[in-house]
Parts: sequence; C-alpha cells; structure tokens
Amino acid sequence: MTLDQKDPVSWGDRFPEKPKPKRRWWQWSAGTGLLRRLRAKTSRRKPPPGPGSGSGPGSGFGSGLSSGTRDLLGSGRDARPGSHSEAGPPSRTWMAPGSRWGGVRRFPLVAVVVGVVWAAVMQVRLFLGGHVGLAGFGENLPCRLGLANFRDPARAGWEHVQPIWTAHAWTGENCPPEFSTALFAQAAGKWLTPLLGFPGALDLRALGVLFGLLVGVVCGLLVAVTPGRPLVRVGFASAVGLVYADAGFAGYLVSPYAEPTALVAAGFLVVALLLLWERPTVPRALATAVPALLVVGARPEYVTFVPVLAFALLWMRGRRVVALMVATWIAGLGVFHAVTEAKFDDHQAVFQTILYDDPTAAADLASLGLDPELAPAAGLSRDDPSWVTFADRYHRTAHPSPLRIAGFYATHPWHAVRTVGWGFQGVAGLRPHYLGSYPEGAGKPEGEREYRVAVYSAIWEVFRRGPLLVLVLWAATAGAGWLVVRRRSLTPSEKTLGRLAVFLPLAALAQFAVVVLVHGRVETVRHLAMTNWLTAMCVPVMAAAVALVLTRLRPVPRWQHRDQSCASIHSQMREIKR
Amino acid sequence: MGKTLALLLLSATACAAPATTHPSAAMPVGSCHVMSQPEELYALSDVRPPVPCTQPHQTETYLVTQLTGPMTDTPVRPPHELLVPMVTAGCDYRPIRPYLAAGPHDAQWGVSVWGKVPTPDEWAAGDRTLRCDLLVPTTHPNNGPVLTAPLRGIMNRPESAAIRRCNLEGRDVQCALPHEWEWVEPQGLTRNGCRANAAMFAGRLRGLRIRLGPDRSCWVGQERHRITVGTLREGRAA
Repeated sequence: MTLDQKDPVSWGDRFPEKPKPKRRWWQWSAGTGLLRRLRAKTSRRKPPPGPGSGSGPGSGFGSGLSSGTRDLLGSGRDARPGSHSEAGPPSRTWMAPGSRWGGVRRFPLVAVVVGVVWAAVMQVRLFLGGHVGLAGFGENLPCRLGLANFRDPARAGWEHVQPIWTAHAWTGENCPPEFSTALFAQAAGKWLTPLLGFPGALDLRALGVLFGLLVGVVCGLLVAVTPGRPLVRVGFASAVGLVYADAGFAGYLVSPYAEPTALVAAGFLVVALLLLWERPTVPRALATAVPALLVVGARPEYVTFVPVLAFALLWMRGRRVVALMVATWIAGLGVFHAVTEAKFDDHQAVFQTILYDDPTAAADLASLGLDPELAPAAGLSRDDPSWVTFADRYHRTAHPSPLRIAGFYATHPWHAVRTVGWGFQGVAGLRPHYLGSYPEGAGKPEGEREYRVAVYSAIWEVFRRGPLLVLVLWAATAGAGWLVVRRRSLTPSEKTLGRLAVFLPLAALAQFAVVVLVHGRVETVRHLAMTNWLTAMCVPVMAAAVALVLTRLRPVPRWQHRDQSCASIHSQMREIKR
Repeated sequence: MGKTLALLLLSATACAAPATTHPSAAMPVGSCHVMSQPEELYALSDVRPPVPCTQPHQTETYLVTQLTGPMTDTPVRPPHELLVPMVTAGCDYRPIRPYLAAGPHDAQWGVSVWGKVPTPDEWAAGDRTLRCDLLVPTTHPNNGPVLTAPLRGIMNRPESAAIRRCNLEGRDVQCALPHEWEWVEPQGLTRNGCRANAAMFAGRLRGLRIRLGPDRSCWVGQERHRITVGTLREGRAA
C-alpha cells in the first residue's frame, strides 16, 4: 500500500479517464513518440510487472533502478494520467499532473441531469401557483427597445409586478440613451414573448423562462467543472442553484432591471473562471470574456469587476498575454460604460448620507467644497418640500466628485465607519422591502413579498442580527480559498475552487465599496444586489474550500507531488530497503 | 475602442425605430400631445410631434410663454426641483377659462396644468420656451386620460362633459360618466338663486330639479331621468 492509498477522500478528478494520446508531427520529429512506441513494444515482450510498481518484487537492484529511471525520464513528457497499467493503482501524487494538463472528469450525464433538474426547479419556483417577480419601480430600461410598461397609471409601480410591456415610440429625454448589456437579454425576451404565447411585445415572464433555463445551464456546467466526486459536484451546483432560487434573487429574474442579466452572467463567469484556472488555454480565456463583458456592461457600478477580473485572469500559469488582452477588453468596456452611463448624484452621497444626522454638517460641507450655508438641508431628500429653499443655492455651488468624497471618507474615518455600517445593513437586507413580488390580481396586498424558497434568506437572518458578520464571511471565504491555493497536496483542479473563494469576496468588497460611496444610504439594498449574490455564493464556495483544506490536513513533501513518478520512487525505495 | 463598443451596443440593442422629434419652441397654442405613459407626463420636456386634436391625445397647449427668473441665465438646465416653481409661476391660470370658452355658469373640473420646458440641448442653445398644457381627467379607472376633441372652446360643446363636475350618490364624477347631479356656478346662492341659475344653465330644458349643497353649492338634475350621462348645459344631456 502506498502512502497515497491511505487518503480517506478521493475526489473525482483524481482518477481521470485515460486520455487519447496526442499525435503531433513534432513528437515524431523529436523522436519521443517513436521512443514511446518502442518502449511499449519492449514492455509487451517482457513478463508482466508486479502490482504496485513498474518493477516487480523479483527484479534485481539494477533492473529496479533502471525501471525507475525510465519512469522518471518519461514523467516529464510521456507520463499520462490514467495509464494505470504501467504505474499500478492510481495514486494521489501521481495523478496530480494528469489533472493539471487534461483528463479531468466531467460526468456529462450527471451534469445534464442536474442542469435539467435545476432548469425545471426554477420554472416551478417562478411560475407554479402564479408567477412571481419583482416590481419594476421607476425602471424603464426596456424603453431602449421601444417598449413601455403596460400598467394602471394610477399606480406608482412598487406595488405589484407588471410583466407586460407594449410597443411604444419614445422621444427626447423620456427614454434617456441608457445602454446596458441587459438589453441583449431583454431583446431575447422580446423575441421569446410571442413564441411562448405571452401578451404584449415583451412579457417579463418570457425573461423568467429564459433566465430559469440559463440557471439550469450554469448548474449543469458547474457539475462538469467543479472538482470532486459526483455527489460533491451535485451538492455544490445545487447550492449555487439555490442562490438563484432564493427569494432574495429569484424575483429579479422576472423584472425589468439590469440585475438579472448580470447575476446569470456572473454564474457563467464563475464557470468560465473555474475552467480557465483549471487549464489556461486561449479558447477558455476568450470564453471568459463573454460573461465578463455581460456583467461589466450591465450597470456602471459593475466597473468594480474590472480590477478583480484582471487579477483573476492574470492569476494563472501561462496564456498571460491572452489573459491580458481579455482583461483589457473588459476594462475598456467597463471604463467606457462607467464614464458614459454613470450619473453620479452627489446629493445622495452628501446630503442624504454624510450629512444625515450629522452634528458637524457645516464643517463637513466646507471639507467637501460645498457651501456651508446648506447645512440646514442636511438629510433632506430632493422630494422634501423644505429642499426647495436650498435648491437654488445647491444648484449654483460646485459639486464634489466621487474621488473627493472618497478623500473625505479617508480623512474622516468616523463618517466612513457610519457609511460602511449602513452598507452592511444594506447587505443584511438582502432584498428591497418595498417592492412587491406578486402581480396585480393575485389577491395579495400591495408590496407583498414572496418566500417560496428562502434558504439563503434564512441564513441572512444571522446577518440581520449582526451585519458585520458579512465581513467575517468574506474574510473566512478568502482565507479558506488562500489556504486551498497554497496547499501543495491539492490538484490544480481543486485549487480552482480556492481561487474562486478568493475572487468572490474581493469582487463583493469592491462592489460594496463603490455602491456605498456612490449611493450612500439611498436605496442601498437594491443597489447591493450583486454584492449580495457574491456574498451568497461565498457560502457554498467557502464550504467547499474548507472541506478541501480539512480533508488534506496531512502535509505532503514537495517532492511527492512535483515529481510525476512517485510510484516508481516508492518502488525504488522498497528495492533499496531489501 | 470606446466608439466600437458604443456602435456594437447601439446596433445590438437599438431595435426601436427612432421617433421623429419636434422642437419645443415650435409647439403652438392649440396643439395636442400624446403622453400615454406616465414617464412622458412627468418628464420635463416633450419633443414628440403634436397630433391633430381629433386623434386620441392627453394634453393640449393653452399657453406658450418664456421662462423668467434668476435661474434662466444658467447654461445648464436647472434640476427638477428648481424648474417646478418656475413652471408654476409661468403657467398663468387666467387664460384657461377663456380658452375653454367657460361662461359664468360653467366650471371646469379635474383639468390640471402641466408645464414643459426645453430639453437640456435646447436650453444650452438658449431656448427658454415654457409650454403650458391642460390635462383632462380619465374616464376609465384602469386607463390613462384620453381625449379626442380639442379643448379650445369645449364648454360650448357636448364633449365638455369630460371636464364638468357631477355627482353620483355623494361621489364626485365627471359628467361623461353616469351621474345624478351636475354642478352649476357660482357657489353661495339661495335656493331661488340656484333655481334661476340652473334654468339659465340648462336653457330650454324643462323638468329640472335642484339641490343646494351644505356649502351652498348649486346642483341641477332631471326629474325624468335621474341617472344621466353628459352635461345639461343648453339641454345637451344624453
């Protein structure tokens, strides 16, 4: 028995199927392919070796050494995972290089089943017993597709889900030139609406059907790319599926907001990153660009993904030029989108956040470069009748940029603590409390929210009691991920989960920081939807990372996993002992 | 790169045909405007071309003037909260009754004033035109207001039922909806004064009944048809 066979846990991709040998012209020209064939012929002529090693018990010292040397020589290029006949039963250290360079098991049947099941679960969750969604209060993004919401004009919009959008010709500033990658999804929903028999030019239920199917695809792909045994993969993918199905996020899938596109694209981004980290190739790097661009282009605030994605793309071996190129694309779109679309309202950040319940309002206004005479307007919203008396003075004063406000927070830590606290309360809120989930006529009161699936919503009760625990979750996830990445005994495929565990909290933190800086305490919960999704994703990813760390507590010497032919070394050591 | 991305996004998402626009300064008095969406009604500007007043529309321009005040000198259009007082001050209510051809016994009801200012680009180009529109109340609780007749001189026509105040079982409704009583101006009359005014209001129509409200408001109805639709003005009830 080798050391590796004592390992109680065997993850699925540690025992990959035997890959087909690659036939390349340079192999023949270099002679290695020919050499391998000759070796194979030689080994067929020899009597079969003993179990567990390339050299049997009856072999002499010299023959054993030569056998081991041959394995060592061949390990650099020719040793392939799965060639068990030559190296005995599969061993952990022996398999590690194999999973790095290919042969990772995908379990396609399990992946398809999980994908179909989760696509069905999402449809049932959204539509069984009457559809649910999220009221699109003040959201008019589909107007860019020539659509207008068909609703009772007497209603403000927050009360109920109003899924039907009809064709309408907008003019002037009634439909501002707003661009978002969410328009791609909404255009697809527009195309699907008549096919599914829904009324109007765009029915948001068609979007719900589409997003539900895509969530199924994400779950199926996660089964294929996640390391581990099938049951572990199914569990992980289902935990991610539950994030989408949870009441905190499912409503977005039947809503006119840009968030659902970003959330579903973020799921594909997770899959793409796992694939890329597993084996960096040019197609995989390019494939990462698609969901990344969809996420970054959905809302100006998602520009925060740019640095985190650049870090994620460059945090791998090889193909860094391609990764840099992809990162540049994403950065280009992100910066372009943020510059053209961002409408920074310093009123929210200053008067409704920094100056809210602020005893030193005048001094803080002066620090921000604003007129201290506006101090009595502290905490007032634009809709407040008292604001009118300050509106003229405010309009004529210089307005601080987000950078200046960030500088203010840097020099006024107490304000930073207050605002960050409101931000964590926003994360703990999980979903807006004032937006209804049910359609009109469903017999539900105005603004009533649904709880058909509330697993993560239940977990969030912990955060509601202690919002700072969100920070603990981020830190714990990143820490566990870092341990996974640093653990030498883990395969590159397993380390992808560690990288993901580092990526998610970083992305959540960056997104959180920008939302808190730009929006302050105004509609914080809805603006933090992506932060909440990333935080929810931390739960299963941290669990997987911790499981990986805990199941590989025994340290493994570096030489065992760096060398590909440890089995042969073991056999040599046995020979020496004899 | 930015231009390429912009073009890509534009080509991929701009499926809607761009609607033609009409300068804010070129909307004359008497022009009618479609604002079927609440967003269009609440928007500060409107550059959709006017439609004939016999087509379904929501608002009609009764006054075109210039914005005045200290904020008009700024090159950037002031925000909503600053423009609202300017619009309120600029849209004088006095031309409304002559525009509607309202007589001493006519009272418009439910008509609201909505001001439209130039777009940010027009403002930057120096345009300070203020357009004052009239919006009529809706007759369908589930739909927005729709009018298919001009408001200019409407008090002389049966369509004025859409902007007259009537009452059904203690609830105020438009006279275009089923009602029992119709309001007659002016207020604060005696019973005899109300009867005389109602007779003048209804013209040749006979068989009238009157009711004096607790606030001495004067209401007129028909003896034979207790529930009617339309206005009794000059005997025009349906």
